[in-house]
Amino acid sequence: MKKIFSPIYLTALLLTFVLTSCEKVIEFDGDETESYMVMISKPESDTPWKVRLTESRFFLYGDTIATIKDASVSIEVNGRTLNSNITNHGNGMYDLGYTPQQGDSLTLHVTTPNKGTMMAGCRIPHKPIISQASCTYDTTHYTEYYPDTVQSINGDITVKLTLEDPAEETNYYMLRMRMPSINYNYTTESYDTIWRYTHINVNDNVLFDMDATNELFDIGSQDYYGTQILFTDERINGQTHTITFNTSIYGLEAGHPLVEVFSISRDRYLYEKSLQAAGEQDMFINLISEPVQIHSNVTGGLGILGGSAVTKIKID
Amino acid sequence: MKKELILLLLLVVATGAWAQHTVSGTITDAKTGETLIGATVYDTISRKGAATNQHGRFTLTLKESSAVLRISYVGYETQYHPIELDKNQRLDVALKGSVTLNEVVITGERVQHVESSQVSRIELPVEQVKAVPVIFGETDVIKVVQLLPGVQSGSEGMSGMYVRGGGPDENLFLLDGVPMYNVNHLGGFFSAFNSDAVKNISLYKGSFPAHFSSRLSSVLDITTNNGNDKEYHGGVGIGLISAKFNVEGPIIKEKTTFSISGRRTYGDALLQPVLALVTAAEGMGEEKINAGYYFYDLNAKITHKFNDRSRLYASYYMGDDALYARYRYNYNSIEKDYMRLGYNWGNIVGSLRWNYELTPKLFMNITGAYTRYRNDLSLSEESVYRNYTETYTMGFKSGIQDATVRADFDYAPTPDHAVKFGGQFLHHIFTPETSNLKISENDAGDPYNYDTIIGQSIVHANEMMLYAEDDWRINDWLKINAGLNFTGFQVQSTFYPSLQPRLSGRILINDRLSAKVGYAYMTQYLHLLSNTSLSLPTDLWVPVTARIKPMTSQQVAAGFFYNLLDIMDLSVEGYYKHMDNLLEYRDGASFWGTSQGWENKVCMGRGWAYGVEFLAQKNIGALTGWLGYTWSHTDRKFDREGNILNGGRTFPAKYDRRHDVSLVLSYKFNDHIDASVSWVFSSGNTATLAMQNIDPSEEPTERYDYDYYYNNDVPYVSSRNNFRMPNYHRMDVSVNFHKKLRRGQRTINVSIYNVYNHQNPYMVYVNSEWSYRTNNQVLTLKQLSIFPILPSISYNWKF
Repeated sequence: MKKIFSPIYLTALLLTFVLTSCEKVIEFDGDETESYMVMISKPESDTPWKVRLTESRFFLYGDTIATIKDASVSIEVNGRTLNSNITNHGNGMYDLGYTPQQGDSLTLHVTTPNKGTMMAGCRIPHKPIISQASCTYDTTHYTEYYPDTVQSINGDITVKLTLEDPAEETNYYMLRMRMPSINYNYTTESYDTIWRYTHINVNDNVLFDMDATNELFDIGSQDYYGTQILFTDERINGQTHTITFNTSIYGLEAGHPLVEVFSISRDRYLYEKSLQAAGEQDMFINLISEPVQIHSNVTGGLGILGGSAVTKIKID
Repeated sequence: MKKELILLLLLVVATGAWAQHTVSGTITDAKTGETLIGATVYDTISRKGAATNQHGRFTLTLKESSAVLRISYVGYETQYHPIELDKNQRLDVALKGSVTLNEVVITGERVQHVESSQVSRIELPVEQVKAVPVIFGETDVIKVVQLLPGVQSGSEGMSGMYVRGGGPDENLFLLDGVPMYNVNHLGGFFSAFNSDAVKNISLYKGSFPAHFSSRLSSVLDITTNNGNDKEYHGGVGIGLISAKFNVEGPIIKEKTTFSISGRRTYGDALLQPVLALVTAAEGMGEEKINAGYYFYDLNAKITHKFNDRSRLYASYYMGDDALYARYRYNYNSIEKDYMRLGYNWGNIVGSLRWNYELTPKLFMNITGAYTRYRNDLSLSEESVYRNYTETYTMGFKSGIQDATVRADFDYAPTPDHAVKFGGQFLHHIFTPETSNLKISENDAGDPYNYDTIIGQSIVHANEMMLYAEDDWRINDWLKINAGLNFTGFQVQSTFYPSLQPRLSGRILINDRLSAKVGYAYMTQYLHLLSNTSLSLPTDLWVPVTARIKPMTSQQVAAGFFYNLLDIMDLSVEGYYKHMDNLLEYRDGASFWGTSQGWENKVCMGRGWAYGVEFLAQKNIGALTGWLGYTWSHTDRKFDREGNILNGGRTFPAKYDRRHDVSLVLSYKFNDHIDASVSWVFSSGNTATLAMQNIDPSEEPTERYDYDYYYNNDVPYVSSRNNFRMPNYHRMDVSVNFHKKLRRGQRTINVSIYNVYNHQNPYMVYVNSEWSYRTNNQVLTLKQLSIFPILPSISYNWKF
């Protein structure tokens, strides 16, 4: 009897009554449920160009995402249609038979029997100029549990990069860092090295207003913390700027970090930013904040064709 | 600007030289002595007229040597006063109330509706407001205003107002001429205006006269009762959720009056026995819990009449919402716990006004006012164990305070000119957020103290305003109201000036039909940061900054006004409004209890709204009410560099609705029974819904059918406000049973909200359930409704 008067029971009973008596399913039909073609392609200089083609899924359908296996794909490079050797892998992946170069203008056309045509264009930027790079370690090694060749490591790594920003146009950058990680492979019964993206924390009051939120989206810490850091040259245009960032590491050591600095197209920048913002919204925030729109530059469909050029630095 | 003002004044002075004699005075209710606002004084010989101002005063200057003045007001018997104009005359008239339908009553009504130069203005009789059925039987001024064409409510049950495509912070709520910031109780389910204290309600949706400024979309001008100057009257009322009272009467007969009214909810009092029961049932004898929520408001007014030319008004409003919880645990003499939570938010509005008739043609009103909105949260906890004591106190404050000085002058130099001019100085103090934290520990005489205050600094801002306007009757068929309003806003080191022209005109086609047109330029210097459709105390008022520019709007409205067979007023109005520097929140933006870095969370852009409004209103006779219909369209576009939303494409505003219909009917069967019914229909609100999911992976990833929650899918929003909720419609009915008692009259009100129990959408959400039949996750979009059929009853007694 006591339990019946428990505040939790009473509240739950009241809420159940209120919510269930006032709920109704909204039905959808027709065009609203139709899927769109989705193109995800991030061509990079000096790397074979490929695209993944899928279909979007109506939000109330619980199925998996469908891939487009029967698309007719063509590419244009610097305004000329290229008869390249396009390979359809049958799982939505298409190798486009061309390796983009810095400064290339690319256009991708996709036609399917059922969904019509979509197209997008982008330019491959020039590689960012990194004039200096250095790294300091504040780590501790442990050897008690592993053979001599594999050590356990714990601590922080701080990296300094000096970036030379060209002045003529707005540049968009993406910063990533990979650490080699040793995993035990049960199939081969040996240790493998995997290059994992690691979370990095940029401490830079010039690039980021550390007290303010993102200018594009209201997501706070992601500007300077995450597996990929996106920034523009708005505050360093035409200057030489040294970026300092650090990462915490733990686990089995295999070597030194690999830093990747990308120059990316504006559409790619907006796309990655919006993906980050959408990822940070949780269920509660969704209720009280504006939803995030994923940026797209695809006409006739969704997704991104966003070019990049990368400078990779392995730091000892 | 200076030149224009001087020219206007010269024009006024020059035209004044032609004037001959002036009749001035005050029109009051014969029974109560209350001044009547908007009563008409009309000379049947010269066919010139005037209307009483906010203080019930009129001035009419005539060239003729004699006049027959017809004094009329809706619901009152018309009086005729022949006068000889050999000198300036004073004429104070007390009108008797009338319930009968007669010609003279109708004339007064028609004069206002057809002859006024004002477009986009609606007068709402208070008695009709009280008759409209509303939720829990609690009469609510704003909920009734929401039933007028051009005004939309936000979500169901909310007191938010969206006027002609504007936002909820673009409405100026004036209580006895003083701005009020938070006009809601209980998250917006009830408004802060107690209808028992209200005398007059005027809504301006556009074509604003020059004496109004500082909001883009509407002015809701509410005047409270002065109090009966002849005898004492009052009443009490008890409803399902609240009780109220009002008392009024003379302090010095026909000289000094008072009026006090109050209201308080008693849900917290009813909760106490339940909490006691729960505490006892749970065997929590050593623990004491006390929690609850209530709101109250109190209106008080004292009016003193020094003489026929001079009056003083002191008004005071205080309203608070309070949420509280206390917990005490006395385990024994050496172990104790105490916790206290208090959350209070509300307004104080105080004003002192002095009316003085400088000359029969020149009337002055000086106002000094203070208004404050505050939002205080405090949490404290104390723990004692033997010699160890720990105290923890946390507080959060935000708010806004205004101190205002204002001078208004009414000048009637000739029968054809009614000039208003004046100025205002307003000092704002914004307290966006201040938090404090205090911790103290004492461990057997070893103390530790921590005390800190965090938050944004207080922001001071000054707002000044000068205006001049002339209601000019050019000839028998053409009348214009032309004015200029100049405002300046100074915040930090930035000053924003704004010159705002206003113009409206009326062409009298015949005695029953007029065409009107109006233009208004408005500037607004304040923004309300809010995240939800609920009106929460965490919503914050912030000023414009060096980066966030003032919002502006330009609105053109035009329409026809017709009096049908002396029983009904009909109007049809069209409007187009262009708004600039509007704010919208960036993708992902949240203001949940914080204004930190708010400038980074908003974008500035443009908006426009257009529509057509139809109103048929009947304010006299046994059957009264109105039928309103609005067709409207409201869009936003944010395409400026650094302020791009929705890819720079146009999107519908959050409360863009195509159709709004409202029907309100009240019928008086006899002296014992009257009833009313209201029906509303509106197109569904918009919402932003991610209708598609995409997989942003560059390479195929391994997935499993049951792995719905752990895949890479990302919701894809095609456009802001891309989804329209189902249509909204609802019918409410209300019946009053009156009975004369030996002393006074009692009224029992029975009302039913949402009579046919229509499930109206409040919000939509995605529901996910596992289906054991199909062995997969089934997703549905569900709408949540919050108010099913709700009957209520209340008891009122008046003496």
